[in-house]
Amino acid sequence: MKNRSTHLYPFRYGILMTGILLTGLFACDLEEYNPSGTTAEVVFSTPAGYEKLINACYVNLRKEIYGREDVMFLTEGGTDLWFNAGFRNYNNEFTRYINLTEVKPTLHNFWKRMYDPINLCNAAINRVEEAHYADVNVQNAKVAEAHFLRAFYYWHIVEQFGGVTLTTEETSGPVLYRQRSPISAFYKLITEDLEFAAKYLPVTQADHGRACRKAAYHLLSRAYLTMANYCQLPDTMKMHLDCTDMTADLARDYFRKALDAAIYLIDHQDKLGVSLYENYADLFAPVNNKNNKEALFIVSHSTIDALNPQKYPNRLHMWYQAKYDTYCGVSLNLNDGLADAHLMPTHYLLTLFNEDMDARYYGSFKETYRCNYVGTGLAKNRKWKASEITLFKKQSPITTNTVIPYDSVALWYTKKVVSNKATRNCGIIDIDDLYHQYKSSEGDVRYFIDTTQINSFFPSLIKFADPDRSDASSQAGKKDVIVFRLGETYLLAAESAYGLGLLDSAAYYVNVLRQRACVNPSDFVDGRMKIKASDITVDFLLEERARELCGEHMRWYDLKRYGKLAAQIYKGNPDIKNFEFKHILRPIPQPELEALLNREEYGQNKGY
Amino acid sequence: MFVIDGIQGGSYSDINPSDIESIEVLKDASSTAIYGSEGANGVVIITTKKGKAGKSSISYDGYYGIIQPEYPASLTGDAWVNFMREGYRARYNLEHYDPADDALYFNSDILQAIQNNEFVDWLDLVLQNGHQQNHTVSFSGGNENTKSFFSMAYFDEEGLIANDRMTRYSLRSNVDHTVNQYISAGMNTQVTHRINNNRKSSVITTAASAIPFGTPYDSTGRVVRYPILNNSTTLSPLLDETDPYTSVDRDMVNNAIVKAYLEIRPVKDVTFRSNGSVNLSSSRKGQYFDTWSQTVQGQTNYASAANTIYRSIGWDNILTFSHSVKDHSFGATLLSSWGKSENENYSMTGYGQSVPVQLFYALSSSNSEGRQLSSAYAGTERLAFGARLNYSYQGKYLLQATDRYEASSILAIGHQWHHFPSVSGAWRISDESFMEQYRSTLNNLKLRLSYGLTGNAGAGPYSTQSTVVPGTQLAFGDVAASYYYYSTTIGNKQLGWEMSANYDAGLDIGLLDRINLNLDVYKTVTTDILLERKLPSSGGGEGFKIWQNVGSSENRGFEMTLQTLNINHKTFKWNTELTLSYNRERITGLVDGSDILSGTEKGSLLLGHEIATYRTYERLGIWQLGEEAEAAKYNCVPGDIKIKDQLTVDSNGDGILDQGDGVINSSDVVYIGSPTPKYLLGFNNTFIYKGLDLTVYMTARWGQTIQHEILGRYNPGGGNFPAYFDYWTPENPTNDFPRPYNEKSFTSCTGYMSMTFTDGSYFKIKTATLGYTLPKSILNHMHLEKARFYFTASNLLSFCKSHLIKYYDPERGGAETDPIGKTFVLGTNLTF
Repeated sequence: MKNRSTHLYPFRYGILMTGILLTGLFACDLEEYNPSGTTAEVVFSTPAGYEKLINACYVNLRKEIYGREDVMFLTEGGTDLWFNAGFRNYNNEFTRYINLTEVKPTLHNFWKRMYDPINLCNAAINRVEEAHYADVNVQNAKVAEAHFLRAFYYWHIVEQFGGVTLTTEETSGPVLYRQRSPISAFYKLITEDLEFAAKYLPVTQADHGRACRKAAYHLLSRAYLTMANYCQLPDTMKMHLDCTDMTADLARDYFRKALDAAIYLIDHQDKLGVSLYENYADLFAPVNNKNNKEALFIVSHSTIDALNPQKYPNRLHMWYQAKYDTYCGVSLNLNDGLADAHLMPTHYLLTLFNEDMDARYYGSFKETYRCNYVGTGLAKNRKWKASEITLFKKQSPITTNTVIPYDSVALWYTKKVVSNKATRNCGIIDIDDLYHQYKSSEGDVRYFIDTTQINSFFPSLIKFADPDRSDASSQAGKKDVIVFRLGETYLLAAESAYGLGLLDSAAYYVNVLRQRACVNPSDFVDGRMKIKASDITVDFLLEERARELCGEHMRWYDLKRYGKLAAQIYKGNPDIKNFEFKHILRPIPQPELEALLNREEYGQNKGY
Repeated sequence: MFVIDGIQGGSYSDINPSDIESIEVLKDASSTAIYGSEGANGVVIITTKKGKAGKSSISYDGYYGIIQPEYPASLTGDAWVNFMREGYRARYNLEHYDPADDALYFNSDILQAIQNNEFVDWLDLVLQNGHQQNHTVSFSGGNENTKSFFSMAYFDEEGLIANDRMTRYSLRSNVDHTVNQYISAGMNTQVTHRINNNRKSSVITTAASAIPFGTPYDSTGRVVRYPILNNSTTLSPLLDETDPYTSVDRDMVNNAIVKAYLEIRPVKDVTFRSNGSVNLSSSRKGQYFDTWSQTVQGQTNYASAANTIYRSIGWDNILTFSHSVKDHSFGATLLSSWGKSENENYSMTGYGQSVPVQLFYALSSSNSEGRQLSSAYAGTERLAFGARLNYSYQGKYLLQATDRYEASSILAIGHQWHHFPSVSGAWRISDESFMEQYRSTLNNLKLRLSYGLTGNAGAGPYSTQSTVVPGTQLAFGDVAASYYYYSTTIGNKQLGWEMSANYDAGLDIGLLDRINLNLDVYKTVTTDILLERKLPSSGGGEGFKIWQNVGSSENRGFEMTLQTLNINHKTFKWNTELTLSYNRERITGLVDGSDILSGTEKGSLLLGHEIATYRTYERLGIWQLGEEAEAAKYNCVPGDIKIKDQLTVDSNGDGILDQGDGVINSSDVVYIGSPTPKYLLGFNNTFIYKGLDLTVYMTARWGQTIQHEILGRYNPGGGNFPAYFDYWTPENPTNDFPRPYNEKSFTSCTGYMSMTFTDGSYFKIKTATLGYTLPKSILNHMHLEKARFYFTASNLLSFCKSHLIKYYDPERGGAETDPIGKTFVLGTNLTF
């Protein structure tokens, strides 16, 4: 009996255990518990949560776009204004159109970093009703930021890539098919978004860098002007861009709207909180960067490292800076900046300026570097090195015994022609050293970059200078990037007025900027800085834009909308030999096409 | 998947190798079926040592060794100078470069350093000999009812770069107790405590590519921040060695695994076993990066501490019935298995700490702006039921059938549960009476057949959910702003099991008591392959990802193991074991009906090819002199990389692509290989002569392509790179690397990525061990039961098919960080 009971007890137990497992848990669904993940429906259902979605729409501007090199190469590279600095080969695809194909990673980076916030803007615009704002005005002011930003991102997309994917819905499932939309459809959405933003964006924002009404008016003017320009393009170009629906008869209406938006901004400067600096040089003075009264829209980078989504928030300061350190007793220092130039000015750009009367030259470029050598003992004074004498072609009385005095101008890279450069106690590269004149096959005079070592020494654009970095060798600039400014608004007004045949008005707006740019107020007379209505032509307007706006992430778009890329490149940039008609559009990045199931139907841009 | 002491899961890396009694590998579906989805890719059964009844013993295992770095040396001396001259020659378009003109091109400081022969070998300053040591003491013993095994171990390894060190302490206790004839129970406990000091692994690359001049240390022996001559922007590769607090990245991991079982045999033929297991792990990653560290590089210093708490519990119940009647044996098993894993993360980061030596222990002293906090939870759960039947007749005919019904929380509701059946049979032919006459030569002949379906639910948790996540690091001016954005993974509400149907036929042959041969031929058809794919980036999220059942594949191959006892003399023995396998994998179907392209070199799914593939340009070599006209069509000159212009144009309309399109673009991006090898070989030889033993183990992986990252470090524009790279000059028409061109970056050479892919086939002598066991006669005097001393050399020699791989152990698989070093170890095993 005893044996039997010890048999049964564990037996029963075993059956029981198995039974519990078989019946109690059988085939139930295993629900996933996910407390740290949450859904859009939950988070964006209150105004506070919704505003975090609006904030997200700004992230890529800071993290991936303004302050990084891609946007610089895509908007300033490959134009009449800039050579590939130092005859290097970096980003030849954009600076020289060599091997610009759909596989260039920069293209895909640019593409995805634009479409990422577009998706967030779409979510913000479509979910605004779910945020349960009590006051519809507050709601409109908030969603207007998303409308403005969507227009801004799509403007970059359509200008770079043409009529590609235009979507107003957020992605919520595996979308593997896409359709193209024409350029006109992009601009329809862009202008609708901006009209909304211009109406509802607050005049001022408490947060530094949040979009205000003035930004919307400016971009609206530029968008309408671009549409008007497209309407006037030659038919061959319209065919290529697939925008034949933008007919010439529509141009007038767009010019009018562009002018209206610009005039509104110019006439309401006090109300909108913006004004021109009296001196052009103040505009880009580092001290005015964080509170720039001329700025209409900025991309703000924080001075606190931890708040920046990018380790090196703004590196534009180094990419136009010529090499100067280690030569003639000038060592790396914060004021002169970190030299890692990607772009150097063309002869064409430098000679657009008459620096003696136009303050915009020295307001935009730096030519001189002072000796900061402090030695001791026998090496107390900095003397010329033999290699420097060879490099700068010095002659007697300059020898290896000549002292370069402390704080004297030791290096001078100038747009002028210097007559006695071999004998002056200073390393001089003048415009004749840097550029060589030759005759193009068409018989025109052109200037080509010197291909020896001295092509690293050139006047440097200082619009992005940042002497407030933590260390002279630090790449981490933290200056804001001024994306739109009132100065350009005047030019938009002038271009729109010109388009409408209002030449006096056009001259007036241009003259506002030129008067400000005078070195001496007395220069503002006809034949010098002041211009007449009859001076205004498309070519003049493009030259004026170069003088006012060079380096400000605009040139490629300006040349493109006037259909002038090829002509201006021929005029100003003989280093570009590979420009073809197809280059008025960038190729669609290969990873995008590869991910589309209808890639054949969607197709690559023409010619690629 | 590992099964350690009968319980699924756990990490092999935390087991002290001295505690392992045996390792067994299961591959065919029928044997792994009982382990379910986690065992789909094979099961490794590890059994740790147990005590033995009646005999107590103490043993000591220990070794000490050094690790020598193996990494290609960079250019130095004349080789570097000549390279630079070639770069200037190309950039300034000189027919000949006259060394007398050095002053025109070279920077004056560098020129002076060259003349004074002040070269610095940065790689040599960064790399060091590593050390490793291990000491294990174990006790084992027991009686009829209780058997126990205890061990304590200490392991310490100092890596090939300074401040890279791992120290591990582990304890184990295995106790088995028989209560009475019906009940027995046991418990295995393993506790490990591990501290890892991590150095930024990219430092080797930084050193290998630094200009070979400079002042590494100042007169006081301190690391110089900007040591490179004439360069005030390049930081020292040695920066992280400046002070003990400059760069601190320290992991502390505590891991406890406790497994217990209860086995009940209520009546004859019936066994009920219940296994419970708990794995608790807590780890802390503490980091402090000073302003002048490689990580921070002059930005604000920061400290962070991140805690991870992991817990996993499992409970299996197994009821087994077995019965024999005369020649017939029957068996039946029922099982249920449940498991749950949870992971919690808590981390905090602060910037601008004023006292570096406080490391990550005083985060409250960081700036109040920009502190970052995060916490997260992730959990998964699984549940399975299974049944197995087996039958054997005289041990000659064996049959087995299994079904497992399993669910995983990772998959979509409605797709979570699936049946995974398997059957297998074996016929021991040598036991048949008609074979009796051959039995003295043919000891064993067995035919095996099996079929099984296995499942894989290896997606990440929450792959079926679309979520939003908070972001930090956004500011308007200097005022922080927070935001929410979409998580990069879009949920898939249809996500289901990946299933593999495995067919295997095997033959086991034993000859002359000396030769054992196992042959297997198999085919595996996998359907609903579970992979993460990228969506078009025009949808946002910089290309959202989605887990999907994307397609099907087929694997075919064979495996062979040949064990022979070549010499079996009284004083001399020689054993060999040869394993050879061949596998051919190809994708047979994809959900969209066409290739799924990733947009990068890796990750594309291509019909007819392996799952893991490389897809890029096809490198032909370098454009040579005489090919100017052809090269010019592609905007190239002699000395540039030559890429194949694939035939994509049908010039004469015959339907055959016979011409390139004249431009190197995406149409020239093709499949160039797979990291999955076609052949694997293992060859082990053991020689025993009296007390001496020698083991040599050789291995080979053949028919694979690897991305050899070091090849991407060629720098035509300056700097430095491995000295063995052969670059093109007009006088040296190599096809390896393009012409030097001063200040030109490699990344601006079209197709440069194709340069890094090369044939990765290799053969290597992995280990050689020479041991000596003291004879009994001496041992008895010393009160020792066993004493063995040995010397092991690992990673001694390797031979690569590609001449582009040199001074590198190919077993690393192509990565440039953490190279494998040659290891030389002296050790002993003592049993008292």
